[in-house]
Amino acid sequence: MSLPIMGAPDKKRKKLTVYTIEECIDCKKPTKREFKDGDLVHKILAKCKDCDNNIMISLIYGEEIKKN
Amino acid sequence: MDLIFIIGAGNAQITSNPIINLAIVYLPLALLILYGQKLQTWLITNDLSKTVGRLKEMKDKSRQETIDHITEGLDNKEETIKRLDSFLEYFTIMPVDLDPAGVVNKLDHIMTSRDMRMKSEIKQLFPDLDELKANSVENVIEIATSFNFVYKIVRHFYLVGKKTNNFIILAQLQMIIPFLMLQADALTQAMTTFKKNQPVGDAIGPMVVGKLMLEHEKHDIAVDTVYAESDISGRKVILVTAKGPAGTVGQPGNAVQELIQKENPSLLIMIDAALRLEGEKTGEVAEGIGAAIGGIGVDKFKIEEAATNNNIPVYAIVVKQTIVEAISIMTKDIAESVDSVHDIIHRIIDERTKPNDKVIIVGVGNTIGVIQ
Repeated sequence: MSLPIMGAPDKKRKKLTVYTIEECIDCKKPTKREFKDGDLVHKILAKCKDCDNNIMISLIYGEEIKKN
Repeated sequence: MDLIFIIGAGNAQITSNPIINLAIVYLPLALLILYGQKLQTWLITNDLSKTVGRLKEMKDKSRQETIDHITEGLDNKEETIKRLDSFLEYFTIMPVDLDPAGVVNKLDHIMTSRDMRMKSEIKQLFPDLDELKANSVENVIEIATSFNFVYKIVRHFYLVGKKTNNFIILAQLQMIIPFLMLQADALTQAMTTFKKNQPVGDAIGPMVVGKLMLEHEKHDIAVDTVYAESDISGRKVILVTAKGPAGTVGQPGNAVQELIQKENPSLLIMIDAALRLEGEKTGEVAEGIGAAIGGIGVDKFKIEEAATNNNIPVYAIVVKQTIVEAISIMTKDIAESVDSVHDIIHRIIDERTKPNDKVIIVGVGNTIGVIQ
């Protein structure tokens, strides 16, 4: 048996789920959904149903799924 | 059997029988004195052999993922794989620094030539690819090349240590292996992120500046670098960042040099990702002084020189993260720091400049997955 005498990297790797946050540029109403291919930060997607302004992807990030 | 423990001055005995004492205490002691280092060398070699094997697996997997990514929908896969394998062996010879005067220009020339060659070869190999996909292919090949390089260096020292039975070489390699494995892990995670054009932690600078650039006209200023003009608190603000959403860091050094000559600003603010120390929090925002930009040093040199020659103070705002976070999908903590950085930019401009002054704000980092 060999021992990692000088230390070894932390093997606990966090599993991240990638989310896309859509936000209306005027009423700032955010929606969170899972990332889809083609999503880009600051990409204009559609019109807001409430105020008819553009909805834009404001953030894309990875988040750890918390077990309950 | 009677076991008697007698520990006297320089006299350790386990039993009263001197022969058994010799076998249990003195013989192993003598063996350890004579062969202790050989045993340790064997343990380290064993440990390193497993790590080198793991690195090889990771390297082969990254090569295969690269092949799958770039040959998607292609007919002539064999030829492409052959070219990819030659890409993986590409090297860059650093300029001689015996006479350091002018070495940055030489370095700049070499790195620019390298990037141009890579871009043109990819264009030649895949003429139908759009800019975003071509950049993604370039990034993925660079990751596979880095993997190949790390593996070859580790394997070299492992084999040299083993061949010469050199305990010191093996021990030194084992000491740095945890850090190399961290980097290898980061490269594995980066591969997935770059393939999908998702923003990485290092994209925080372009994201902060990109948000300020929205709805303003963008102009090209250097290779893969754009700028836009805006207004913050009655000051003319010139925003500079790499051109997204392709994965590139642009040439902020050339852009800032040109803009300082043209605009003569009274302040330069740089936003970048910075490596955090263990114990610090990811996404923490810190302020400082100096050119916040990493890389090989060419852009930093150009910015520092232009700022010094024109007596322009350089303010830095950094978002803390680890090396793994910097090149893999941006985490929530980092992404949500955008508003804090904007607040700091507004405060610095209000406190350190007067109305009608000019300020250059540079978003440094890889702009993958971020539109301006």
